[in-house]
Amino acid sequence: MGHDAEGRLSYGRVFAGSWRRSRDGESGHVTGTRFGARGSLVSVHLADWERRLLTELVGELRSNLLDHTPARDGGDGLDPSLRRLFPPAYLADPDRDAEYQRLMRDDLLAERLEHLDLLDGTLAADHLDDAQVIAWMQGLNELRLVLGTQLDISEEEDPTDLDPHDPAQRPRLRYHYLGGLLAELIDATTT
Amino acid sequence: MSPNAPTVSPRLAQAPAVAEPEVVRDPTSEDEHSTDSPWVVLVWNDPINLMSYVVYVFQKLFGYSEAKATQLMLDVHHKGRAAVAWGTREQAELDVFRLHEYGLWATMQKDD
Repeated sequence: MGHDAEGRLSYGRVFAGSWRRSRDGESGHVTGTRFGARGSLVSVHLADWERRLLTELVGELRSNLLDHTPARDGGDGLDPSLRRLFPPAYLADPDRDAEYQRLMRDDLLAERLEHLDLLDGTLAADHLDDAQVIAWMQGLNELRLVLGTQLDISEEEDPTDLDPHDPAQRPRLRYHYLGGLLAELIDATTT
Repeated sequence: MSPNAPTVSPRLAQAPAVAEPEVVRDPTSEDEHSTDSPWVVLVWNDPINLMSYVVYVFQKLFGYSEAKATQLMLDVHHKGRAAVAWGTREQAELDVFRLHEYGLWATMQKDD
């Protein structure tokens, strides 16, 4: 809050560009848009390191979901970093929420695994159709939700404060990288 | 919500390439608040979801206009939560599920 919206958008792009420089050593290179509208499809222009990073992150999340999502437990025992992926439906009614979780958690887990598979399976694609775009959005957002929960992220988080060369900052850099990527995808689909 | 994306993009007003609504509703209908629709679906503010993403999801799931979806997003952001849909308990549970699928923090309660 309190920041100019356009400024924030260019922030994300400048940040993404600076991180790419740090990875590729392409001094002075500023990244262009990584998604573009192509008729009913969305074109994808990702560097190899971006595809490798996303493959790694999606694989980690899939393993985490399969290992740490107890079905029908009403929330107890859920890995804390996954709580945002399985939120309560009834805040003030524990009995109804337990019933909801019992009925719906398996379906929600199945949906998440399905679109993570779709995202993973199209990471090398040059363009995406509608269903693939939605899977990318949901998948990228889930990666952000889990990373953001682990990092206890706040709205005031400023990616320009981070040192792209500091290994300890890597999770935060990845979180902001994913935010910039998602923002670009939304921008491309609504252009 | 995280504001590192434009809150109001003029381009959002144009027909979105992949944002055709799955469900079309009249957001101005007062009938939604009648006793036939006793459940309300709330979306809560969080520091992670991008503003532009929340607007996209509201348009996609509920068929809201860009202006209506943006206003709801701003209500979530500034007031902490916003009511985004009304219906029977079954309808509300389905809406909550689909909002959860997109990673939004949604809950439901009786609309007293």
